[in-house]
Amino acid sequence: MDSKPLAHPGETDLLLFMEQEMDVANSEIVARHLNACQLCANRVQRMRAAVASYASYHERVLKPSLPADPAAWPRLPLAIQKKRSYAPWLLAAAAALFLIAIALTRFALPHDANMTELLAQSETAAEPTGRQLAVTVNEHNWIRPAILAEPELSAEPPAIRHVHALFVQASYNWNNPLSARSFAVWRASLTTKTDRVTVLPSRPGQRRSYRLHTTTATGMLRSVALTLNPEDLRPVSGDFRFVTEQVRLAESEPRADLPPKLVPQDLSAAKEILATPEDELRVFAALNAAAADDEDLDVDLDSAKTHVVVTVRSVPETRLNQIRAALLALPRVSLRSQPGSAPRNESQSTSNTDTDGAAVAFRRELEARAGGPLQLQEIIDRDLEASSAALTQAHALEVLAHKFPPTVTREFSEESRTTLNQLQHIHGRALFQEAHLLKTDLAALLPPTETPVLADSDLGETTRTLDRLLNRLLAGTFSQSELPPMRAQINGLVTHLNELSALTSGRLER
Amino acid sequence: MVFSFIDRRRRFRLATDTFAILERMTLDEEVERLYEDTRAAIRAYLLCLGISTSQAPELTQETFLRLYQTMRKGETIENVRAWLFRVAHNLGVAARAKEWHFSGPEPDWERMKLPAGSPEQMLIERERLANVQAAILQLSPQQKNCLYLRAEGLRYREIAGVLGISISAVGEFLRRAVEKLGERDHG
Repeated sequence: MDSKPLAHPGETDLLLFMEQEMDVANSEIVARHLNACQLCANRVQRMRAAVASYASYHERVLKPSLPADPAAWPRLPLAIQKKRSYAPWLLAAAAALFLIAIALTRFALPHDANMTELLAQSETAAEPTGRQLAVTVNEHNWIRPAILAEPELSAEPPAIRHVHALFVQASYNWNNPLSARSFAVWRASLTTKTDRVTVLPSRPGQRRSYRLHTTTATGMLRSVALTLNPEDLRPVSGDFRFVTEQVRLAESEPRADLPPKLVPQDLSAAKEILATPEDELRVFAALNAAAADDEDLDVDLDSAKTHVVVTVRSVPETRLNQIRAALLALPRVSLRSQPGSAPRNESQSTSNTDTDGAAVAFRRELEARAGGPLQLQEIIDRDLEASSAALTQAHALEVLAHKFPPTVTREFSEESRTTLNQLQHIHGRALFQEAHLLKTDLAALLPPTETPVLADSDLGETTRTLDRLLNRLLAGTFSQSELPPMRAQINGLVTHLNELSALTSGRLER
Repeated sequence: MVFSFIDRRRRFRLATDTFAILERMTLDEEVERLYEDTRAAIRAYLLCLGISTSQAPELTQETFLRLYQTMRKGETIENVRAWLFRVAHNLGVAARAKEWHFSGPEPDWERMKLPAGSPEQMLIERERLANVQAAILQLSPQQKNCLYLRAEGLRYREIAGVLGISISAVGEFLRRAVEKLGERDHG
């Protein structure tokens, strides 16, 4: 810590600091000053109370006093907006193209070209014996049987496994993908969709051929277009547009020389696309950007190192969808959801409960310092949240340090280095602010009565111990004899945390 | 290894997050979702600018239509919520011509939302909020406006964008407001 005496910051600077609106360099200067100046710490305390007063007035008085929302809000006339925003020349060009399309294809949607009806007919078509499919994705292509017995993911070559995983994630039947039934099941699962049936050009005297096209705005698989055989209406080709890739399946001539099982034609896919630490970093950044908070997440490479696997536990469906949306655009990522395990019982043994009335007396002491029971409760809520947040930020920094040591980041692109730096910065700064908040609050609430126990633990251990002790102290689960050493230890840990967070923050700044 | 992201204040998001997620959804759906999520907040703000109860929903709708047009052009919006407040502010000010000023509603104490507690605690809380109200009456319209937008979760930079003033002016308005609120709290 700088031993130079620091001038008292102005009220505006204190406000900017308190509101986390100040740049990190100046924040550190103010934080150092506040650590040493009780007068200014009290000023910040008063400002915080004033801001909290307004926030509760805003929610409890001002907003309820406004006239109630309309019973039925008008819908947004977006369709009108679309029409309004088309340039006249664009409409003319679209009309011309439409006419040309009609002329070229003798386009005429027959009355019977109904999606459901065509699918029903297509489902009755017999599956040709030994039918095989040519699969094309990116620069890879291979031949596979049209119908697979349950394939084992792990037994497949990587490129095929990748496509298989895409279909599984999209809940589309990979065992028999080029079938009307699989298409119908996927289509029925969509909450919003747009269907289009196109009549393809045919030779005079031949039956019509159809293309069924369904698009959706959500999910992994955004559109599927199946082309039906004019004779029996079985699907003969399909275009599957996933968020990240386009996959084409087409009926292939049966080849006697092919073994019955999966036969890669071009598996330069053997040059497997492995997931890299940079992929992993992008996952961390995306999760952070999506504020995927309050969730337990495992982020790790799978055993084959082809995917970054994100495992989430105990997450509601809506939140899971948000996380899925945040990860959709990233390559080589797979999201898994697990039901949560029973919460660990971390409660203290009964011997730690307030058997001798120590907690009641201590709470009264704290209430007197805080200015009343309501004020104390506000401080307790704020500090427990700050402690929990500090714990998380410290853990995040530990994970980043563990996953991306210099030996790994040496290989990173400039962009990845910047991303990592941003992430560390975000967590470092948050940790610094939380540590300071704890220090300021506890200085007023728990003035040292004993010599603080000097802590010598690392960042993770410090935040874990502090969080555990604070929870015990503020929940009143301690006995009279435990109180003095607990206070001394908390004071020591808070001081240590402030020093560590200032060091971390300073190092990241450099 | 378990990695928990608990950034409860959500203050440290990467700058691009809002729009990056938006890009992945269809525009119509996204604007409709935003309309459902945010229209009440925008209407409340317009009412505080003195827009009538009958006109506020219209201007709210116009705000979202402008959002739709802007996003259709592919323009990047860093923080959609702040952008909506800015457009609503401009529409509100234009609608009131020179008569606009941020006032907020007359408090209706009957509709006040108090936390559960003993009658005594509720009385104390009500008294505390009445003190805050008395302090707010002494604030200038700009100070009230800044406090309001801050309580809606906007950063200083964003408040400055909404009101068309500098960031330092926002800091100054808020400092004075906080000072007056603090005097009342401790006076």
